[in-house]
Amino acid sequence: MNPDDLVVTGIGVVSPRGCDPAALDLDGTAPADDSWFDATAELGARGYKYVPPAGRYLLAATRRAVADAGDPLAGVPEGERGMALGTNSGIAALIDAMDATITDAGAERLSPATAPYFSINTLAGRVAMDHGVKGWNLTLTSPRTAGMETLLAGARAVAAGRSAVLLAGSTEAPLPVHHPGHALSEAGAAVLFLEPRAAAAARGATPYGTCRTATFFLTTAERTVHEALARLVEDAGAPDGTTLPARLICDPCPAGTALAGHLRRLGVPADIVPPGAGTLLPFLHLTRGLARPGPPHLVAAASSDGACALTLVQPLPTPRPRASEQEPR
Amino acid sequence: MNAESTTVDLEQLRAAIAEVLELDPAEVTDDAHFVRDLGGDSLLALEMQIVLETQYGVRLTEDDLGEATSLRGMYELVLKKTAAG
Repeated sequence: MNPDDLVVTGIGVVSPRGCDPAALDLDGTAPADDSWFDATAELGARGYKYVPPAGRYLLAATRRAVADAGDPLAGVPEGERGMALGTNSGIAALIDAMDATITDAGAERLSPATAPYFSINTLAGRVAMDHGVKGWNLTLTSPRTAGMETLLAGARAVAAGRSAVLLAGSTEAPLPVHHPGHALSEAGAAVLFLEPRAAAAARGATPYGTCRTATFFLTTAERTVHEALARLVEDAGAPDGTTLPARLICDPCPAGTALAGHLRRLGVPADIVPPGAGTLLPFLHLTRGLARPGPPHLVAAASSDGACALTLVQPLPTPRPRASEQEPR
Repeated sequence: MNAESTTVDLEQLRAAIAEVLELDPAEVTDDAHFVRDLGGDSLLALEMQIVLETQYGVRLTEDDLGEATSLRGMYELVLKKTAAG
């Protein structure tokens, strides 16, 4: 399957930066407490009390993405639904609280209803329970880049026939106050619903566009990095004389500086954006880019340990009708 | 109320159980069955055990939970346990 054969047909975002993907305010920092999220309005009054905040955000964003796609899951067998999630601090506060309980009161005082979420995989697992995702389910945790990595891992899984559709996203919850990254904490979730172009066309769904992703570590050989970047830039097909817009989310770290240098040598000067503490901000940038019609552009992220991910976002050139306005076939 | 207190107040117990079951306290009537009427399950029973043990400073067993299946039953059980010290 050609990477561009997998199209985005649904976007779901819940974030203190906004819930309308096209209108996300991605400048500056956002409050990382929980006051912006109305769990009852998003999920209902009962059944999610023991789900950690990052799980609730993810469930809400997934519901929004599936609804935005026109509720296509009824036509997809549960064994053909796949999911990939990126997160760094999704359960950090929960793990800290569990540590404190064990230290102070003993393991027998742990909350039985919350304890299952000690594993990072259970956030996406909880979504799988609600949406019947029984094909495959993968959680990635690379610093900063894991959200974008879901698009590559997910596209490969679909191409390999492991699922017919893909839910890909990122979720984060605030880091504990004593954590050095607390001030940069992120909160919220973003999820994309992706399906083969032909499947979308068959049910009359209009895609937002496509996301083609490349990942590598900057310890990788120079030539490999250059080739991966050159492929993405060439595939963008920027008209002669124009520059491919690019946004690079990274610290002022050697990997970020090196990645910016690679892009510059390819004629792509990137705007550098300060990161949050997790995987969410790059994913929000690409969801907003998809939701706004316009030319192709790059969203990139790099972490201080050398992990890099770049997604070529190719939105529709003109506004996409809402799911409710699309004619089913 | 905390582990050092042995007073059992029915309304506080109702509120604690309602909190565990994600219900309004008014829904936890004296004789409503935790599982059949209030949507409880085995995991929430364990959660209730931990919460009530911590709150009242008592030890509850699985057998206790199997027998105390309503607010009234749980109140009598916790009362008996706290009185026994």
